[in-house]
Amino acid sequence: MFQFIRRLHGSTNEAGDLTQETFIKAYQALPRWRPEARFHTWLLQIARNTTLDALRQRRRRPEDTLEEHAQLADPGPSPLQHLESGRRLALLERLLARLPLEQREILLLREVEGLSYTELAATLGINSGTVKSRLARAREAMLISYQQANEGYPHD
Amino acid sequence: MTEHLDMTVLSAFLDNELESDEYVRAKRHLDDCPSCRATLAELRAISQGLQAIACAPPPAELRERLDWLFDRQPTAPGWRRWLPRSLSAAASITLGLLIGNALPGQPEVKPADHNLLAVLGSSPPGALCAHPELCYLKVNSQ
Repeated sequence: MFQFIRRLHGSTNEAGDLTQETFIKAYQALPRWRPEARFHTWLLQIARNTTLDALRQRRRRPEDTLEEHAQLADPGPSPLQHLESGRRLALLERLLARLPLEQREILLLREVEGLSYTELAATLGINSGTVKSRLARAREAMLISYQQANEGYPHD
Repeated sequence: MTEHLDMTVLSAFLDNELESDEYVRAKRHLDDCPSCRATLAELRAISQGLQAIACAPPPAELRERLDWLFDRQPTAPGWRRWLPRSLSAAASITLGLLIGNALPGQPEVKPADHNLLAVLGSSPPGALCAHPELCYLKVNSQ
């Protein structure tokens, strides 16, 4: 939960407070949880709402914090086939942090948290058609930024 | 060759979320189109990369804070906190009563036989007589 909030918000320092706030809210709302909703998804929804509230209140750009450590051009020599390397994963995380919030959250929920399309629709409050199109836009943006970050490096 | 697959179709194909007829069309196109296959491979690689993003544990300070916070929370409000202990006490008492009833009954108490008790009395012939000549009649006094 902490990692989800950190990636969505973009600040490690504030992610701790937001995680605590999320668990307190979940504890208080526990009597309202129904087994029809997967507990993990329900908790993610509370974490998402808590994080979005914090972002709205502070009007901060998440990448402001991550920029301090961001390094767009990957120093490694390898192309997409070597995504498993630590540097590639670090690059992906940085690129993810640069995406617009709407695209970042759907990618996090789908790829990192493993939500189904139905759960995505319920969590984000959108219909399944919008889930498909928003996810496609997010993936396209990620692909383009990844290719740009790797420009100048020969592909295997 | 037909038009290239758009990103929505490729993305849904990646997640196996296409309707069956859409899936067949997309699969047929992918079989014949190296460009779309390459795009799909790149999308898959990014997807797998994101899934593999390391999940470092949360800071120890946060864990301690949450532990402290939830250790202080009552497990249940009011009477519900005492319910387990009350139920345990009631169960113990009931069990004790049941076991007590199951034991063999006490022997029947009869009133003491006065003749037997006379043995213990201070008058002859029960008690020891310090001076037998005073206690027994002299039958051969004749």
